[in-house]
Amino acid sequence: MAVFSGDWIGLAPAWLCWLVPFAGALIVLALGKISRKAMESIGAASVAASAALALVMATWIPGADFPIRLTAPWVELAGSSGDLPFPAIAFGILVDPVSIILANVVAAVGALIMVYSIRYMGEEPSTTRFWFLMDAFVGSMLFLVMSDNLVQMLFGWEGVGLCSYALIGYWYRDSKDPKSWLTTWVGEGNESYPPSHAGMKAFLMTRFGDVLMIAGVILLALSTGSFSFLEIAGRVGSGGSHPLLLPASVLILFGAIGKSAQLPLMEWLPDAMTGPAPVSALIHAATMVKAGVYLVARVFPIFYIAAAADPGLIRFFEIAAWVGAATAFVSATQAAVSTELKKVLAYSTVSQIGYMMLAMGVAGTMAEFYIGYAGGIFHLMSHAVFKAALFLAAGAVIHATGSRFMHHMGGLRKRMPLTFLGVLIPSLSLMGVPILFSGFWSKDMILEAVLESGNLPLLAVSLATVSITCFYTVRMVGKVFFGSPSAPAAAAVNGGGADGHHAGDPSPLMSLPVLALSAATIAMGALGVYEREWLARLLGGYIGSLVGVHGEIHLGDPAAQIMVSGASLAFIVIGAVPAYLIYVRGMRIPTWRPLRSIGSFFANRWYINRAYYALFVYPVFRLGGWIADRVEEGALRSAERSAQSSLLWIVGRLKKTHTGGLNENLIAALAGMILLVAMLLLVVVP
Amino acid sequence: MTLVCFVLIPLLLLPVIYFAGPRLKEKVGYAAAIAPLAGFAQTISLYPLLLNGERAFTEIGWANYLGLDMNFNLSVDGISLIYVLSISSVSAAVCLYSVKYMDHRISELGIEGKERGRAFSRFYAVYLAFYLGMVGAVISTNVIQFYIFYELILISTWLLIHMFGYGDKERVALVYFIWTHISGMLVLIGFVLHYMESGCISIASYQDLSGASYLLLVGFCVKMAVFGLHTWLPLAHGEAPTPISALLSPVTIGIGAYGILRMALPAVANLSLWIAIWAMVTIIYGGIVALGEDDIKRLLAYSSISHMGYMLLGIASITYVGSVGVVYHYLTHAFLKAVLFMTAGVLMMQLHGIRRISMMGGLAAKTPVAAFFLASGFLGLAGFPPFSGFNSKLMIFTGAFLGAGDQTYLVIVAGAAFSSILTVAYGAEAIRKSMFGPAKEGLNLEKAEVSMLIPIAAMLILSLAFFFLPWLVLVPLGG
Repeated sequence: MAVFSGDWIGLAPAWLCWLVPFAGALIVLALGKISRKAMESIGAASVAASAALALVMATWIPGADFPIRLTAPWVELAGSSGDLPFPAIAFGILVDPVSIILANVVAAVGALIMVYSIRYMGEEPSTTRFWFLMDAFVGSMLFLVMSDNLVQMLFGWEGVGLCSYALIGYWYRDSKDPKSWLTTWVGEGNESYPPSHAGMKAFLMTRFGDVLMIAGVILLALSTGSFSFLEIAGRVGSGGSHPLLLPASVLILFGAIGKSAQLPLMEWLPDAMTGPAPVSALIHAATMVKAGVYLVARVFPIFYIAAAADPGLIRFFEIAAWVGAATAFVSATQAAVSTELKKVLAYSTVSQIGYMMLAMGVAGTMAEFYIGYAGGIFHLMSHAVFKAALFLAAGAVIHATGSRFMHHMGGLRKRMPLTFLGVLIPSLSLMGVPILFSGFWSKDMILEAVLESGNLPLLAVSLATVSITCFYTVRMVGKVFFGSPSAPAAAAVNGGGADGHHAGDPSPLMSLPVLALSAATIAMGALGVYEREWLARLLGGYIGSLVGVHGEIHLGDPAAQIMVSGASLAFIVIGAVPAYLIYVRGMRIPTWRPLRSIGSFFANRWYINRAYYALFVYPVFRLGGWIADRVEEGALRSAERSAQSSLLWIVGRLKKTHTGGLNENLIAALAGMILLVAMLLLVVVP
Repeated sequence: MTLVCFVLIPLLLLPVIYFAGPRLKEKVGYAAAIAPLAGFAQTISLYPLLLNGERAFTEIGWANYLGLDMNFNLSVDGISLIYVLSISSVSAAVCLYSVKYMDHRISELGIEGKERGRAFSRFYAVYLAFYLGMVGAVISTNVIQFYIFYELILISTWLLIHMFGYGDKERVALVYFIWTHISGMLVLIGFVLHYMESGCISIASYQDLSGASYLLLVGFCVKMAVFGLHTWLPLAHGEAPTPISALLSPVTIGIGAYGILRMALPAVANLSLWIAIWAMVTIIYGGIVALGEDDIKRLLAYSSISHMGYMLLGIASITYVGSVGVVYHYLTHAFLKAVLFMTAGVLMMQLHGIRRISMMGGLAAKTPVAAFFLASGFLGLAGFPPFSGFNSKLMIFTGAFLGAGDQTYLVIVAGAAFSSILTVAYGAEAIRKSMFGPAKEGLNLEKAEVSMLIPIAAMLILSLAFFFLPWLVLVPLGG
């Protein structure tokens, strides 16, 4: 039945890399009851294997002639003549530099996280579900990355959503006892959520974006006649612009906004911290939230070409840029006041992804798109590495202190030196400290792109965000590792911790992944200057060949680079120094009223979360309950009953005429005869 | 094999079941399953023919009365094939599932001793009549035949609810009977009007717009329980014995969509925008009420209303893709809603009759299999891969966007697409409330019957299969 095209055997790593984790997931399911050791090994090994396969793909980059496609027919409406409006959906694999880079990031970081999970989840009673979902998650993500068309991407997309839903709500019991509350819930006060709630929230909110995205995909396919990325890109240029293209592009962007937790759909991610630490690392640093950025990178050529034909489409990129910048800023301010360790990292993730979105957006508005494009991808890579390290280290800290709150930590650097190192290096990278850390190079490349695009408000917002980023990062490190230990931390450190064990660095199986990721951050930073050039040439050349821009790739003038580096350095200092003084040196801050109210505004998440609940969640649920009780059970049932009783009343009345009395019967018979005669006359006479 | 077997086997089996029942007791259920299983096997055997783009046809001379060509003809084309496939497979699964369930239900009704066997024989004999009605309706070629089968569905299900239902079962059965009979009457008047106008009774003759088309449209919409005409459905599907709900809710009401596709399309074409609006309202209304509903069977019933809205949206588009999507969604909805109802039945048995979701909680740890079925069913219906709901919804929405003539229409379709988030919402909420959270105190759970879980798994596997092999649906429908 199926007709395969392309070299499926020679390019086996491109489809094996997602098939292996899926297979691993099934094996895990089978092994769950048999042997825990075997299950864990298979669970981790399958992802490690796909990392190896991804590495094989990376070796293709220098020589191959991209893009390479493998396709097999999947959905085709039979009996179709050539001009059938429903485009056939192929099952396809797209191998190009973008997908290869992404696959490597996902698989390699994923593999380290899986190794970490073996120990981290070691105390859980049964982990079959965990391993199954984690493997399926990595598989879905790689499937998404390698897919050649939008529909197939949606499978991976929904698969990732599904697994994240189940993993965020992994501790679905929602136990309220104080110990579990401290480690498995998220938030405080009115905005405190149990795992099952957080999972559902993530699910519904990303679904919100997905629904719009599906509509966008359908519109895009109908206006271009294909679902395939490359075919659409080949067709949008010719034959003028289609009026549905702009709505389609914006709807698709909403999918990315939902998945990548950008404004206005960012509220799910901070609450998704209810999952175990490896889940947070995998979903919220390395993979799932990057899917949105990847989607924008994938459709980039399509709308770049379309924008050349119809300038109206530049709005797609402008919206992306502004959404990214606004998100970066807003969530950075929230990170600056968060009380929970993992939540700081969560807000920070949202903020950093905002940068990537910004990079993709500004790239689309300029002729030298490759600076922004490569910057976005570069930042995606470096962020995946350092944020995964941060999440994993945070997991170790929470595990040791038995609390997710930073005020239950403090002074841990001596007790957990390796973990401290595993937080410090990635933190410096997150701040963008120059030269040695990957974050510096990637973030500066984005800032450079923003500068080159000449959009000064965007530049101002992104520079301000640099300061806030440094502030919250230093604050986090200070609160957790410096200062005097808080009571719970001290108790934990002295061996009287909640679960009675000694707080200290975790076992090597947990430390090594963190240190490996930290080392990778430094390696990427040390080679940063070459890396950025390599990425710009590679991606610039490749995307350029798709969009028909063939020119010299030049990476901006040195003056701009120095300016950007200088400015970002200045803003780093502006943010880092106050935080250092307050949270590391322990300087007292005067409580200044306006500052406090700004702080509480940030801590209340700008009231966005609350507004959503008040405007959408509660009213819809209440309306549903009201209709179910009052309308369906109440009004409609009573209408039915009154219809019944009125019918009975009429029948009862009619019954009364059956008196049996001779007189009445005679009168009725007479009336009937008169009626008959009248009818006969009426019929006969004319 | 001729198509007569589709109707002949249940017809011949029916008296056998009825008379063997008192002796075989619950085992008579397995015997009754022969009919739908044979139907399923025959559907599979028709596949090669249909994949070639042909159709199966059997002609039986019966009567030429009043100059009417009243031959008892049966035909299976693409649409009928998918319908027969869904009907026979779900009927077979439900039949096997119902053995243990009815055993339990009959004890619950206090039927003891000799009466038990008779109760089984009544149930399965009427069940076969029900199955016969559904299969007969979708392979009929003329409206008289169609009408006979159509009303047979009604009478048999009325009996089933009346005898074995829950709550105020006699009254519920009567409400169901009256409403569905209104549908039947409207349809019948439509048939008569059409005959008076054109002198034709063949289903294929319903190609032109006339007054009859509108009557048929409304009649079939009552059957589909679209918004405003739905009040009977939550009641009937909520109080019917659960296996019957599993068959009624997805399979039976979808026959309304079949009727519209075959006979009332001209009226739809004329009112496309209004029907789309009606569909959107149905989707939203069903979804919102499902969100607020606490009784799990009622919740599923409202969900069915919402899904009929999707099907109506596809019909309203009057496009080829949309219609294909409708038939595809019928299949999807049949499998997955059956999974959900059957799982609800399993839970009810495990929990000694508890149906309120708010009284459940934390069940995932105790019955992981049921939790898995419930989650798969809800998420599959919401359109998550790898369940066939993804394909069918994609096609319905593509068709709807394609059929949207102007901007208003486009907005309506977008609204309908957007409201599909409600489908996820009530599913996720029901899962969360029943399966997650702290375990409720005092819930003592019986072990689930494995023989009841197997049919559910089979339905789930079929739904997976039709995701991976879409050509099984698309090629036959291509003709």
